[in-house]
This record gives sequence, C-alpha cells and structure tokens, in this order.
Amino acid sequence: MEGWITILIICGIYLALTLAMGIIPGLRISESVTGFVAGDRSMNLLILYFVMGASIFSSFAFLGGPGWAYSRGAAAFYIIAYGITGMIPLYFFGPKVRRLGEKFGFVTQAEILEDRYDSRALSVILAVVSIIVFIPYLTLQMKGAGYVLTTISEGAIPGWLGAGIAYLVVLIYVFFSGVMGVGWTNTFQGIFMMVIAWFIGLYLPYELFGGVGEMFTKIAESDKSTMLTAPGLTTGGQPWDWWGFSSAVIVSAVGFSVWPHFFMRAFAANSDRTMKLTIVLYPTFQLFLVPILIIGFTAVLAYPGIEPADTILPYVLTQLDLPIVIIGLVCAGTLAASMSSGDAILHSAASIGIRDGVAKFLPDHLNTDHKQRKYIRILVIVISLIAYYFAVFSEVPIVNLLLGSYGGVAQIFPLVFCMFYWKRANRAGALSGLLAGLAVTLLFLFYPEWRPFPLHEGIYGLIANIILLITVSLATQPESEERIQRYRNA
Amino acid sequence: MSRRKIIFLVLLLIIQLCLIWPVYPLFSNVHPLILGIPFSFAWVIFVLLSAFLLVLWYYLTDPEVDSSSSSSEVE
Repeated sequence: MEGWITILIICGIYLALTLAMGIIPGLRISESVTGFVAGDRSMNLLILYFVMGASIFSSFAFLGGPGWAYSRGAAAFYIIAYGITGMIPLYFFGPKVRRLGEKFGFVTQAEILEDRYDSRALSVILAVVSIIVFIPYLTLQMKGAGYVLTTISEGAIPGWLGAGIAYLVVLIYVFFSGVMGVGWTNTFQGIFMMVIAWFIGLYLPYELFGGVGEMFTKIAESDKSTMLTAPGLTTGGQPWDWWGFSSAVIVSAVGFSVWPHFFMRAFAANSDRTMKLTIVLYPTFQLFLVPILIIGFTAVLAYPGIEPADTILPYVLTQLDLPIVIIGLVCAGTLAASMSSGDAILHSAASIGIRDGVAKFLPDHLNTDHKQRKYIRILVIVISLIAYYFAVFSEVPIVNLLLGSYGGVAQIFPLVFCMFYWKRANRAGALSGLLAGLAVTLLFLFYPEWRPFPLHEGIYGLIANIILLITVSLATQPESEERIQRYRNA
Repeated sequence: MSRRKIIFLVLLLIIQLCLIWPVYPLFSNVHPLILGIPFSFAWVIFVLLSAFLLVLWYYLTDPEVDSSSSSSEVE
C-alpha cells in the first residue's frame, strides 16, 4: 500500500512543476489576442521545437504506440513512417504563413485561408471541422491521464478524479497564459517524456531478455516472427495488405502538416529561421518513437494475450519488480504525454472556435481584442467541461470518431497548397473541393464495404477534393489580382 | 524552379516511396537483424535519418535563411 503513495507524490511534484512552468510565462505576454493565441509571435527555436513535437506525441504515443507494436507488430512502423515526410511541407508553407500573419494579423489557419479565398463560409466550416475533431481528441487524452492514475493507485484514485486533477492544471495554465503556457510546459514535458521513453525502452528488454537484440532474436525465432514482417497485422490479427498500409501512410502524411493546432504555430515563430530549423530538427523528436515501439515488442513474448493492447505499458510496469521511483516517473511521463497534447488542443479549439466561428456571426459583440480574449478564455473552460463529460460520464465510442479524423484533416492540404502555388484556385473551387473531400471521406469511413479498392477513405476524399478544386476553379472567375499577388509574393 | 529544388523534390519523392509500396516491400523482412533490430524496422529508421539529412542539406544551402531573419532573434 505504501508504494502507490510514493508514485502519487512524484506525479504531484510533476503537476506542481508543470503548473508553475505554465503560469510564469503568462506574466510577460501582452493582454491581447495575438499574445494569447500566437504568443506575440515570439517563440524561439527551443520552444517551437518542443511545442510541435510534444503536441503530436500524445497519450496515444505512450499507450497506443506500444499497444500497436504489441498487437500488430510491424504495422506500428506506420506511426513513424507518416511523420518522416509529413512535416516537410511546413518548411515551405511555414515561413510564408508566418510573414503573412505578421503583416495582416492572422493567428489561425482558417483566417489565412479565409483571406486567400475571400470566403467567410470557409472559415466557419474549418472551425466546425476543427472542433469536431478536437473534442474527441481531448477526451482521449483525459481518459489516458485518468487511466494511468487509476491503475497505479490500484483503484484508490478513480478515473474521474485523476483526469480531473491533471486537466484542472492544464485548464489553469491555458486559461492564464495561452499559447506561451503551452510552450513552456511542453518544453518541460517533452524533455521529461523523451528521457523516460528512452530509459524504459532500453531497460525493459535488458531486464527481460538481456538486450534489445536478444529480444528481437527471440521473437524472430518464435512462431510470432511474421508480425515483424512489414506491414504487420491488422487489428484482427490477419496480415495487413500493402494497399492499406501505403494509403494510410500517405493520407496521414498529407494531413500531418495541416492539423490546425499544428499549422497555427507558424504564427507564433519569431523568425523564418526558427520555423525552418524546427522542421529540420523534427526527426530528432521522432526518433523517440523507436524506444516507444520497443516497449511494446518487449511484451510480445513476455506477456502474451493482454487485452486491450493499449494497457500493455502499465501492465508490464505492475508485473516487474521495478524501483517504485521509476514507476512513479513513468506515470508522470505518461501524464506529460497526455497533457502536452491536451493543452495544445484545448488552446487551439478555443481560439479557433471564437476567432473563426463565433466572431463571424457576432461581429458586433466581439469587436475588440479584449472581448475576444475574454471569450476565448470562457470557451477554454466550456470545451474542458465538454471533453471531461465525454471522458468520464459518456459511453459514446469516440475512438471511432478520432480514427476518421486523419482522413478529414488531410482534406485541408490541397487548399493550403493552392493558397501559395496555384493562382487560379478560387473561392468556389476551395469550398466545393473541401466539402466534397469531407463528404467522400465520411461516406467511405461509415460504409467501408463500398470502397472500390481497399484504400484508406482519405485517398478517395483527396481525389474528389482535387478534381473539384481544379475544375470548379477553372470554370469560375479567378480571385482579384491584388489578392493573389499577396500570396504569390509571400 | 532551381536545380537545388528539383533535386530536393526528386529525393523527397524517393524517400516517400521507400516508406510505401512498391519500395518498402523489398525491405520488409525480419532478417537480417541490423544491430539487433529487425530489417523492416531498421529500414524505417534508416529512411528517417535520410530524410533528416536531406532537409538539413536543403536548409544549409538555403539562400533565404541569412537574409530573412527577423529582428527578434533570441535563442
């Protein structure tokens, strides 16, 4: 009984440090929307690097990553594969987006697209899509945090309390400091979880098999060796086909750079150099997925048959006779992974909801910077409560909603690309492309048996999207020359 | 388009193809183990490092990097 109290003390220290790191930078930020949403465009390389890295590596990385490796083998390499090229478009878009933001005061993705395509409807559609995607995403992060605290406290801390405490901390620093709170805490959380991941990823195979090489040799000699052959297994345990693997990698890579909470960080960069270097250094963050997957592989032979697979990391921790401090650190690391994504999503969802959604309908009520900032903060609280409700009280299977989100988010990419590189792209083309892409993706998500080939639903969406974007744009009037030049020369 | 950019895009396309069908199936086996890591896994890590080097090269030869830095450069 003594053990879990030590663990909770470690988690408590972690939460206290995070809270302090989140509140202090808020004292220096200006009392404006730009300050709250884009950190006064002042993020340096260190902060931007960790914000971009830690936002993506969520509790999915700490719980889902090992789960995939454990149950689906080589299929888990997909998680690394799509990020390898997925980030690179931002090397080109990022500096342009940053400069336009500085010049015209944009702080969200929808704002810049709204301006290029001269369409308020586009902004509202993007706001709706973002919030639909973000709420389940945030809900899953909360569930992950609650789950970890429940497991290690042997049930003494129920899920509602664990998730509540962790996300109360997030709520406070996001409310108070905006994106700079996200930035500083993510730097702390990012370093912390990288160290933990490498340590556990190397320690577990050493403890159980005598080393990483010995562990893989044992799997390769066993009857499970086929799971190490790419592209691994499906969720049902059957061999995955190359069509499915390849199309999933492409859709996720296309969508990666245009995730709204990710894309809008370009507005926070303090220079083009910072933006570009963040992309250059991004693969160093991705290497951290290697030990994460090794954790899952370690359990394949040592602990077969654990259901659900996502619980494999906490399960292994409870089985081994590890020093209690290490278990505490791993739990705090998992909380860090959950919170470092949750904070960025919460902040972005509220900012986008007000700037791109509500403000378009109530321009008279949200006409000042001060009011907008106030309402963004209120929405931070509202979204936290909604996500908390789904995390704790609702039985709606939201995981399915999130799985569909990659295909949906990828539909934003053609619009962003054409914003800078195709001057004929116009409002009608952008709207019809985006709507058709979303509709087709949803159709094949809900009716997978209608797909002509076993490809990811997002591929069909992208095909419809690009065809309509091109043909409708060509069939209608181009945007004004002055508007296009602004983006050509950005 | 500059020659530098064309080279970059061609190599980027090759890297992308290395991660999906038809190139990745050629490197999808368990054996040989590279430094104890299955070949299919080592291949993905190798491609990750290649992509890192490609973007690093592109950054280091970027003519805009020096001129475009803004005043608020703090690290």
